Amino acid sequence: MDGYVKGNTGFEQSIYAYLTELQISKIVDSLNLNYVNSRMIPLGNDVEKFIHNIEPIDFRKHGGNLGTSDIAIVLDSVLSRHKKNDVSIFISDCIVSPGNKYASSPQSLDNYLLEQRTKIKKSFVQSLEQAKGDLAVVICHLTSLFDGRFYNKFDHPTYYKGNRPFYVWLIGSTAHVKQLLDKVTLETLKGNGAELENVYTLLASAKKIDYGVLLTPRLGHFDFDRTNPKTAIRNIRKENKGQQGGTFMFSVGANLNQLPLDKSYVLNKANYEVNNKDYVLSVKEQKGGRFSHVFGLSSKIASRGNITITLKNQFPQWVVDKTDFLGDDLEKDGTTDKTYGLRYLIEGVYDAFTSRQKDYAEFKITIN
Amino acid sequence: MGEFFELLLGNMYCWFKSFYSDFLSQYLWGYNPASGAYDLELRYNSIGLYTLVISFVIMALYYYVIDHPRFCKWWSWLIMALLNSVIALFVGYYCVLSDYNAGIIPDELMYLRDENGEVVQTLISIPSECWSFGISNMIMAFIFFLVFSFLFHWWSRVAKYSPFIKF
Repeated sequence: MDGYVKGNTGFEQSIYAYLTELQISKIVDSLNLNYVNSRMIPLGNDVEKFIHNIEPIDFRKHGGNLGTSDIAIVLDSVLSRHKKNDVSIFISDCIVSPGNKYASSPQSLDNYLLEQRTKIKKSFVQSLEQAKGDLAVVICHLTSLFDGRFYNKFDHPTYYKGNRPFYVWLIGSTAHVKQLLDKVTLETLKGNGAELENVYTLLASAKKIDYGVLLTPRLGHFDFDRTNPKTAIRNIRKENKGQQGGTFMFSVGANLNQLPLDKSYVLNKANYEVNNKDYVLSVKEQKGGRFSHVFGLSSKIASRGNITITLKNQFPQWVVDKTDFLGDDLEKDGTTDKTYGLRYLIEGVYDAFTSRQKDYAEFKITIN
Repeated sequence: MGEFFELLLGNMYCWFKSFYSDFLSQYLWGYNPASGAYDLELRYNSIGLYTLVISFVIMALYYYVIDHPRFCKWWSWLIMALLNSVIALFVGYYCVLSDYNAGIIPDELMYLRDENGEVVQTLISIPSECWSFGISNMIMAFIFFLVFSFLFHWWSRVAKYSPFIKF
């Protein structure tokens, strides 16, 4: 990480701005700042002092093993110290560094990467169990100027100066992460020399999302099923007048703002699946009213039965695109904007969450 | 069985639901958009009860208070039936209008609003739908009066064969 902190860098300034915003917004009771390599080294709670004391020379002073970093062990150490009401913020280049012992047997590298994935999955599965299923992880991909020695997968250093990715992970309960993101948005990380490129959210929440069928907007007619008016309708009839004649449409409201998901992800209907292909889905945000979002389900066929709308947890393409699969030489391989092993790390987290809860949310409606 | 009787009046009113909007019907059923449940007052029952009582009183007036030989023909009965219906028209009209004026009808049933909260469509037109519901109440009142007449005309002194054929 030396190359990110030499001098006054965008990396430092964006982290400084974010941590300061957390303090002044009073969203947190206390900030406990740590430096982590082979062990966790506490550095108090003074943000300004923390930022000014993360030069390469300070890393050496703090101790620990600055060499090969096993990201899985580092994440496990963060998770093992994480308490129920905490939000842990983990900042790293997330480069998997197998080390020079693999130089003589490069065929074992795949096994090392797979092992990292499995170890990370195990750590997060344990954390999910401890949190009784209520855990969210937001992984932010940023870029900042890097000026220093870059160590490849075999620990061979080369000098590099240019933009390099780094990652900020927020880990906590769904409600706490949501509160944090609402109060101090990820926009705070931008514009101080670092750029926010991508975000991926993983969550498993014990709390059910409030949803229900709405009387309007609609086309045609239906009655609520009195035995379960929130999620069951009956006596459906298509619209018989005007341009929309022959179409049946009903709306379902849902409080998707309970989830710490990116707004554009929630509004993109490609991230949803409807089990009944007779119905076409639309998604809109609603200002005011009981629900934050409204789904529209329309059909020319107006079939009856059970309809399930699923908000899918799609493994993001940007993780694959930003993974360096070679890990040899940044400039020769054209991987200056990529991270070696990234896909395996995030797949480990993805596997842990999806083993518990496959999708972000599911909404079930019955048409009798 | 309890639910059957609880919903009986509402189901009967729904025979004439085409006179007024589905949104007014949902309000009268007690639908609460805020909770998505039927947890508001079942107005079909309360208005239906007023109409039942008025119909019974008018029936009793005709058969047991007036009960006069000069007012016991089929047209006499019809006058009382029409009187009952007209009263029911105003009862239905007034009940819905007073609920609207008191702000009891939920906003989501009254208006369709856009994302900014501006009204794009009025779902329940006041006072026209008050009259529409009044008309359906009027028809219900006629049915109640007819049924009560059939059930209770036997003990009337002179009017008991009205409007039914003398055996």
